[in-house]
Amino acid sequence: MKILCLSTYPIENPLHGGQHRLSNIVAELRADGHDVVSAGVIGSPSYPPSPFFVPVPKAEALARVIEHYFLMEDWAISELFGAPGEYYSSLASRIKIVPDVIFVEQPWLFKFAELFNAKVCKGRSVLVYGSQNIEHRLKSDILRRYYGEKHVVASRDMVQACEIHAIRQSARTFCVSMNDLEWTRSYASQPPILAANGVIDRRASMADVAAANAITHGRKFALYCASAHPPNMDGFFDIFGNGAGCFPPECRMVVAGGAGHSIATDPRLARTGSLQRQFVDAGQVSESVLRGLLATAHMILLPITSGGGTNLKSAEALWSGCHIVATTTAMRGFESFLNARGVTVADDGPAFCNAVRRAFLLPNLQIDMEDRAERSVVLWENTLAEMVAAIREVELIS
Amino acid sequence: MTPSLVRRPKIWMNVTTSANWDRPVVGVVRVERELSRELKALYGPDAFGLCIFDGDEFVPHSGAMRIAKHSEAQPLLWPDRSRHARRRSTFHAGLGVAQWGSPQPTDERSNLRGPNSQPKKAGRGIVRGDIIVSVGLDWDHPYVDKFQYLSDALGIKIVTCCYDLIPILLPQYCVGHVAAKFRDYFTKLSWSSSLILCISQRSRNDYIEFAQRIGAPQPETLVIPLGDNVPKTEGLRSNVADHVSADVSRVTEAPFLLFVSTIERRKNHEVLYRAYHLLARDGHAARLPKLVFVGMPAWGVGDLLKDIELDPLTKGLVVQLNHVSDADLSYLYEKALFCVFPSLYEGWGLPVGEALACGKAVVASAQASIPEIGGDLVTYLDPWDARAWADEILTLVDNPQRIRSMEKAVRREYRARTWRDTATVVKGALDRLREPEDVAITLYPGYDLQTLFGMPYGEAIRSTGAPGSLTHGPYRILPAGTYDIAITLDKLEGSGGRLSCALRSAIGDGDHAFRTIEFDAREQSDVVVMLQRIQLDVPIDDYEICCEVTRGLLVSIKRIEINQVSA
Repeated sequence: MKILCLSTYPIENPLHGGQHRLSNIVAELRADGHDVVSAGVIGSPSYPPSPFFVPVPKAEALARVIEHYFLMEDWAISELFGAPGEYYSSLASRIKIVPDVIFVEQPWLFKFAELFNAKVCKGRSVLVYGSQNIEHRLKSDILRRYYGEKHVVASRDMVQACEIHAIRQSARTFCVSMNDLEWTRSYASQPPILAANGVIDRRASMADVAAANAITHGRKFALYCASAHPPNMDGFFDIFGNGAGCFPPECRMVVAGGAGHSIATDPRLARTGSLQRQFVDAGQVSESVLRGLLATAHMILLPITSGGGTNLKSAEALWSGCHIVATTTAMRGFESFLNARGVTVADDGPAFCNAVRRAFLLPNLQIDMEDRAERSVVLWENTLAEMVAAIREVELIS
Repeated sequence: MTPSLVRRPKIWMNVTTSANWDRPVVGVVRVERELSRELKALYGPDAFGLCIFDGDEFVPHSGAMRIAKHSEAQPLLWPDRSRHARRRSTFHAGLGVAQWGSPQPTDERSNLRGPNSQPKKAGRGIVRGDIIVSVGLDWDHPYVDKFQYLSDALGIKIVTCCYDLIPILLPQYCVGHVAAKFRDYFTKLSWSSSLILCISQRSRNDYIEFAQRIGAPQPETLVIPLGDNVPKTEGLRSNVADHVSADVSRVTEAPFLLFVSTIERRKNHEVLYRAYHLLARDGHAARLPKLVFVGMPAWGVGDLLKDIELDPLTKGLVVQLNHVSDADLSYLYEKALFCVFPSLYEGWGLPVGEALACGKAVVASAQASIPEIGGDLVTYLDPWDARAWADEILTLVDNPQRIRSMEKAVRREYRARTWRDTATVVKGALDRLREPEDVAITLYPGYDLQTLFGMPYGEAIRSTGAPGSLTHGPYRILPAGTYDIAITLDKLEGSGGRLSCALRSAIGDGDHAFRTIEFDAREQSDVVVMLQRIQLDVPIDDYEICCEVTRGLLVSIKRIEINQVSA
């Protein structure tokens, strides 16, 4: 089959969780024998250009569909590209295939997909929807930090309408967690399918470890891999903002990803006391450095206190075999591992910090073959297996 | 080893604060000095010594202290009546002292350093098992950063003091943003101290709650009673009244209430001023005793002092004294109608104890540690309720019989605490810490050792196939005794060769144990290499675990355990 994957970010060099997820979805679909094209809108100036992606519309254009478009850019993109006109045409002209299936990751380009199906595919393409979150809930959480309640509620309702439309009009909906799946079920025409976030099976070489050692200086460290997505910073400060005495003096807190810079430059870090001295911003790391960090970390922290969906960093942590200290929110979608060896779940600052201290004082976690086999369900090939099977059979259900 | 060579751990009192203090004595300095003096008396010179932090290390100290330029006390935390501090001498840092303990590396991980890395040396004087007691203004000194190293690398036990957590709990009453600094400070104490002395149950509770909140370890804590006996004026040739200043004499000619404390917002002089304002407004000014503040103005009270100065209703009723001498203060306590202490928070609250020790009636707030001092002997009021203070002051002024009744109960029931009491309690805890312990050390090579031809891989060091030194370090102290050493490693299938393991010192000149193992390439193996019954007749101060591999052997040294099997 020919499959068109639509998203608001390119996936050539994935950095954040959403990019990794879609990149692996495309890889698994290709591995299943499909001809897959990834296209869409470059939703942020921070993404590099990509051949099948059009640039984000200018601010004036976004402001035409919503007055206060800050943090509502994705919804504005949905409106601009989902209606006939220059934006629809610019993206449609880049897509050179007539797909059998259009896979829309997140709801923002679903209206575009409907229009494209009607105009280009003559209605013969099957639309499926990949949900990463209950978007309207996440959106209202984020907006509430910046806007008054009236704007938050109005924006939330617009996003909710957008995603419910995507669920209702798609032949299949794929959800990232059981929690999301339960909410989605009542709007879906077919039972939604769980497609949890996963992880690739990384193997660190000595060169990878050497690259990581250059950052950690060979010290014992806790690792937090996080993009600059606001809930990642907020979660960090929710947990550590009142002080973090849980890091032994010679140990380090290493943050890999965009969150590192945001945390390092946040005035709240200075108020934590000793954590500031032990904080290492690894920045955006290469795949080699990430492999090295995951191989040598003593523990992985998942201080996520808001947001929906599942955190693919949780899958990464589980597969790494390190000690894990995580919130319940961070373990969403991985509930079967809540009591796994080396995993501690703590939802408030004191409990989380005490768990971190205790884990630091333990030797490295040793994962045996049986544990490893149990954890292999977090590999992408397994988390996406049902999705791939469903898309393979999508002609039948359509 | 003969029993005569066994050395009992020695107590070292860190007097860096006192030795460098050239201003009027404040409470913390007083604690450091009084505790030093009393512990020295209890232990004697063989088991007790003074030390200071000089440059980058602690060194023994002769005991000379700088003293205040002004002989009269200027209370900052507590007023000074310290008699022994009257000597003037000069502090000579580091004269004739032993070198011991090279500085902890401040650069990043030592195991990434080259072969010229200097080993850490331990030396004479302060040795493994000894105890450093540090109760000074430690948060203002860099040596706090050394405590962890002294504890972990050199086996020195660290005893510190928690006076209070006010900068963290009540930062609004402190200068600048000091909360983060004190969070950091208490975090360091938590990780490095074998024992934290707390000057009240409240301070102890505050510390434990704080440590729990931030996930810090909680070392043993001990509440110690601070001496609160007001120094007697013995040595004066005639009675005290002959030695008081003219200002104090004038003040004491009429009835007065006494509040001894630095004038700062947390001490809440404001509620007393407001109470006096209310009473004066209600027409009671003529019946009111003077309100005497003894203490130096500090930060944040400019507006209050201006109000007091300008308020026509209370004009002449509120008197401020500072630079009072021992005799002055003793006389003020003696002559006061009663004492007041409306503080919003205290780590202890010494003036309450001093007033009670002088047999005075006390009206105080029931905040924080204050009830620990006075129990039922003190009348407690809400520190925010000026009307309540006004009412109580008027009631007591109108009922001298009630004051006498309170004083009678105080004289009957209150037991003043002496600095000997303090030292005795501290000694009990120190004696427990002095009990000998067998050495049990676990080293994780990736974090604790260094490598020339291998690579740190998390807590392990892995060989890369290159021949040569795989591990060296950690260059720490190992006391005399008999030891077993267990080296846990993995050998990868397909690689073979020889591994040699040794316990060395003096940068390789001293070879205390040695063993080699040949590995067959066909096997993958988890191995524990034992170096057993290693006899050290004298301590070594820079031991290292040296592992070397031949070309092609791929091993991961995962853990090294050193256990003392006999002394």
